[in-house]
Amino acid sequence: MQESLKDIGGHITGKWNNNSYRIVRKLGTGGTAEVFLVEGEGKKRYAMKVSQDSLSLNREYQLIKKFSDIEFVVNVYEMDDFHRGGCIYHFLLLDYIQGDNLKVYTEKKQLQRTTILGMILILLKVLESFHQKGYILGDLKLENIMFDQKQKAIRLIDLGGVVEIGATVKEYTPAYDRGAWRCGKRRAEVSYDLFTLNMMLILLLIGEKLNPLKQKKEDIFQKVRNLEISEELKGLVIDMMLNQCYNSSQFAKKINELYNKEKLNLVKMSKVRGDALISNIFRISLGFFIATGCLILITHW
Amino acid sequence: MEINEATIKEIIVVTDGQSNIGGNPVEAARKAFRKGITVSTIGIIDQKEQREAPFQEVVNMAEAGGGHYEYTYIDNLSQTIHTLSHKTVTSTLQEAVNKQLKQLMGNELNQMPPESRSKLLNYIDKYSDEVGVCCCILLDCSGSMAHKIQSARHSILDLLDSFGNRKGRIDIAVVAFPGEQADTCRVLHHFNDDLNQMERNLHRMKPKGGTPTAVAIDYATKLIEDFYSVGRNKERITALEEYVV
Repeated sequence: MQESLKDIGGHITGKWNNNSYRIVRKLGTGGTAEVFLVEGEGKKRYAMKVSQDSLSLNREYQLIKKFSDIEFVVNVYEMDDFHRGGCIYHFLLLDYIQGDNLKVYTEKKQLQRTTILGMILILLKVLESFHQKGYILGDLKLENIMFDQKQKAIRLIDLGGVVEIGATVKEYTPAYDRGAWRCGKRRAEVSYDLFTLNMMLILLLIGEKLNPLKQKKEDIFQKVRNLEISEELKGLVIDMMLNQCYNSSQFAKKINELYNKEKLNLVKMSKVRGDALISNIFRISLGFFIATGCLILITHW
Repeated sequence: MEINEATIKEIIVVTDGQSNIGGNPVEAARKAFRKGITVSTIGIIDQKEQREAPFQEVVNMAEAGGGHYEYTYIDNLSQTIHTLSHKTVTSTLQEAVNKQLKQLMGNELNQMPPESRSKLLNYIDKYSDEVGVCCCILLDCSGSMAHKIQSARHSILDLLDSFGNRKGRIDIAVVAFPGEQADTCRVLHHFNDDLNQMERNLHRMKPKGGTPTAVAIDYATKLIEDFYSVGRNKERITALEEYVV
């Protein structure tokens, strides 16, 4: 267990690169690391991830650099060390993203079904960009996705679960993990990622916590069947949970169809109001996405 | 360290209370560590429990055993064992690399600039999935575990799924303590047993009695030593169902 950096306040100067940062406040704690909001030169704000576990921090540094061309991944600026109370701490300097993570956001506000489906489409695109490089995202979950208020976009804040296709899944969250639901192996395959995404879809549709230690997959199916959603969507999420029978482009195609139907229904009922923040994001990213999505689908088929 | 021969040996103690029968578990952990076996500990805390540090013994055992410790709810047991085991592997490798570096250039990993350190860490990270691991899980089956045993069983089965996908070799044994008598322990699953039998074997857990942690650590140490002296491919010579100290 890591000693908590309670009294980290003041300034931190990196041992090797000599850059100084003023600690503004703590943003959160996760696993073996703590994250602080810091101010660098010219009052520019960053998120600083601090840990004593150099191995896992280095791993994250390498992964973020490797996937830096994916627009959904945060930027990393430097990796350095500092001393406090006789201990060495390592840190990463990352983009500071202003906004809520999806978990916090969905707890505040119930998302519309079109919004949910639209977001799943965007996330499918995110996953696709990892798969093309021979990796899976692994630990996809609401907590790891941020709504960037400034850029009006979705950003991934934790790549700790990323592993090469064919390797062991290193980090996972039981509610999203097909091993825990006894629906497949904990092996890094494209279908593993699709399973986590499908669980996220189910979670957002049902709107309550899922726990594989207390529930069976049949309990989840029952909850899905009781929802007031189209039979097509019910069938899709149940089939995907059972045996991940669709590949990325088939899944994307199905979701896209359902998205368009829902959208049409909404227009008919002239109920398009939109959640203030989300609709902004989607006006921009969905337009763009649907255009490229269709293109991908056409070329894949 | 010989790359192909290297195996990391570890004991993971899962307990929800203080040892109350037999010798001193901290001493037992120290003895195991001297024999090249790392001892890590997991303290199971109740969902309701608000106490910050329920049992100091969990910390002391891990310190003496050269391992790590973690408190967790029974629901997170599988992931916690997995994380601890991974930590043991990586820190053992890091220590080995540090030792070599010190001899070669009088420097440790942390004293190297991040860029050159990165290269070594990448190697350790990759190798941590390939090195052989021998892991004995010691499961507290005292009376107080009665209502958690179902979750514990589930966690260990779940763990096999993660371990099974490692590139390197993994040998797992599960030992429950106490066994039939108060100061004994009981092998639920031996290193050589068929992994498909694990589920059936785990149903032999019968939570009752006290917590003879020291006895269990001594036993696990011997189990690992025997396994390596006999040779892991040969048949087990005696069926060690019960081990009386």
